[in-house]
Amino acid sequence: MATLTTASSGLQPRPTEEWVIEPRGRSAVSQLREVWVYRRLFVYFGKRSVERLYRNTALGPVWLLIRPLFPIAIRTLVFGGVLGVASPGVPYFLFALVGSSVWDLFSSCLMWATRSLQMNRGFLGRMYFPRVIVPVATMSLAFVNFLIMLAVMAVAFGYYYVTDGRLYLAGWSGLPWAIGAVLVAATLGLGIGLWTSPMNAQYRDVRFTLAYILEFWALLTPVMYPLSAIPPQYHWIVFINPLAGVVQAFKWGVLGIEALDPTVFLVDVGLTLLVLVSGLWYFTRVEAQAVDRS
Amino acid sequence: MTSITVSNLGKCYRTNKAPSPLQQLAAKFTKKGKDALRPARELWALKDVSFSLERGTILGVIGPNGAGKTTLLKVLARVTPPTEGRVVGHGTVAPLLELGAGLQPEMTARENISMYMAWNGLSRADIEQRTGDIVAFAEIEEFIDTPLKRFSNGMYVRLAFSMAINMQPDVLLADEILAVGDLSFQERCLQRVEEAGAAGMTVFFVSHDMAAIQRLCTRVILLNGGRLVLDGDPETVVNHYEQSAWTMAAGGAKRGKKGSHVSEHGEILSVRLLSSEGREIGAVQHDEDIHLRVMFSALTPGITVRAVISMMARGVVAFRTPQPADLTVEEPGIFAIRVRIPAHLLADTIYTVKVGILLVADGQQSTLVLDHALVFRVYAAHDANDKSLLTLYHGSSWSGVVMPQLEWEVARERDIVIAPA
Repeated sequence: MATLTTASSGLQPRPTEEWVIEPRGRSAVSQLREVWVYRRLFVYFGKRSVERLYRNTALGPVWLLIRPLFPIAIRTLVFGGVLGVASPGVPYFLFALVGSSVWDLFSSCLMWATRSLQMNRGFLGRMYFPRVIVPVATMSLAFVNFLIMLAVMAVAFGYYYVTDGRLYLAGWSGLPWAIGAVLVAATLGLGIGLWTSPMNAQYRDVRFTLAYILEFWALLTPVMYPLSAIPPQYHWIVFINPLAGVVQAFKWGVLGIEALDPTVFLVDVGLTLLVLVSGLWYFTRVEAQAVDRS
Repeated sequence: MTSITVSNLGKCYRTNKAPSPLQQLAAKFTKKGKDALRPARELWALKDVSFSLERGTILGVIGPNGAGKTTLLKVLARVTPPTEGRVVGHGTVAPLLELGAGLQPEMTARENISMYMAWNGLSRADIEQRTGDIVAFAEIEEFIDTPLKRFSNGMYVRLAFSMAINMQPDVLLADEILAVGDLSFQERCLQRVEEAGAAGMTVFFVSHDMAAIQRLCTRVILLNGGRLVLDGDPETVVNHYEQSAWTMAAGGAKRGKKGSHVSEHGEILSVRLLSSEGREIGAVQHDEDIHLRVMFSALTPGITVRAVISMMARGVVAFRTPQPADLTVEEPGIFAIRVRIPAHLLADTIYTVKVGILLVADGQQSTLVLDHALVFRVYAAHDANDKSLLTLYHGSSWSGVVMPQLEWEVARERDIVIAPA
């Protein structure tokens, strides 16, 4: 095993492991093994990303609340209020909040992973560690967002319980669906991000293009509207988009509306794993050159 | 036991930017696009570098700027991949590149230390244990919870060095660690590296401080233009480098048409170091007489000339010696100044010679100045067989910028009687 460091106490004589430096870089597998040795860097990079984002802002952590909630408020007004989009059996705000939370998790995981190498370039040029830690750890920004939305969701459920006298939350049986949807959303975001972040380190165009693609993609996904708004014979077209299955699974898991065909979700899982594995392969192959040339 | 083997290492940078995918696409379809697609120019920062180090080697890496010293360390630190070749090494590597690399200005010293340790895969208990050592060596006890952005340059460097060395890596990559920091810290740095080498740490020591290189290193490589020019014992390699650095400086003075060593009234033509037999030399013994010879031309009839020579060592002017009287030049010509520097004056260090010539013509004055006219080294001992006790003081904190042999007298004052035990 070609690790650079050993976790044993340095005060005792350590076994000196052999390592090799070659132009091609090391295989994905050996790099991934090394991730374990450097695992504490996840915490560090995660913390650093969050701190850096809100540094030198007057409102500081208040932005943590504003950033996710402001778009939801706008969407609720436009789709639920002005356009009057139906939400099957639940208040529209709750419907939009639940759908948006998992979509935003996916899109911000993808966005932050894409930007991660470029954001930490100064670091990468000075210290060695398995680079794959960077996109994964930077996704912590997306998870912080998501946790805040969950908290808001809890408040909203409480509010509607008092005003409507109904708890819109699905039972415990929905929990595996919700968790599964979250995992797939984040993993798919990472998988695509592993492809885009080395590209973005060289060409910033990638990030801008991606922002537009995601905007369009959000409209293709039943986030702000229910699947029932689309005629059933076209549902298969909707589900070509893997995110449709993920969002539907989350809504089903949390709100208990619009049950999902498990095979659709399973296909999404398979696709996600494929993207992740290919992403890891690509990333580990090109990251060194990408950072070098950026 | 071998610590690191470097074979045929090469690193190529493209100076022209590689064509973007869009440009490549344009090149496929249009004539204009094809013209725009110029081949990227290649710059080999390292080429065909091979060497192998035993454990505990303190390897000096010397060479002019742009020789590839830093690139070599960056490749070894794995922050940049080589273009060709291969390195096989053993054990942990602690890089100290671009002073304080990896330190975060926003974080406190304590956070930075624990971060760095985590980087190196140390456990929490280890971190606790070593933080004390690191802080003590860096002498920043009071500032441990201060963000680094409030640190002075010196504190920053001390912390960085202390962190790296206290990791007790198998390989330490030190790039110009002496460039910042006060003298007392430099001294402790050197001592610490010396000890580490003796304890089996392999050290790459990049420095322009030849005195430090000679004192510390067990082996030296000389890089120039990305290639390994010379690999050997410190004395041979440093000598070779200084001879060539010296040639460069003197050659520059000869060829230069611009610069302050030339004016309409005259020019400093060359500065040479000569042995008492008149041979050109690049290094001298402490107990030899040497001569500095400065050639200059005076072109305006009737000008008055007064020269001064300064000797710089260890970053200060060790002394200067003025021309004792003005010289009035009747006819244009080339003149030679010869200055005898007596034996037992210079210390065992490296001197840089600066030459200034003041020219006064019709009340108008101009100065010819040649900085770094010449660099040479003074050795205290003739050879390794010199067993006199003086050698014990060489290269230690006893040294200064001059070592004059003053009038000494050591005599017995009176006898003492030691009672048998």
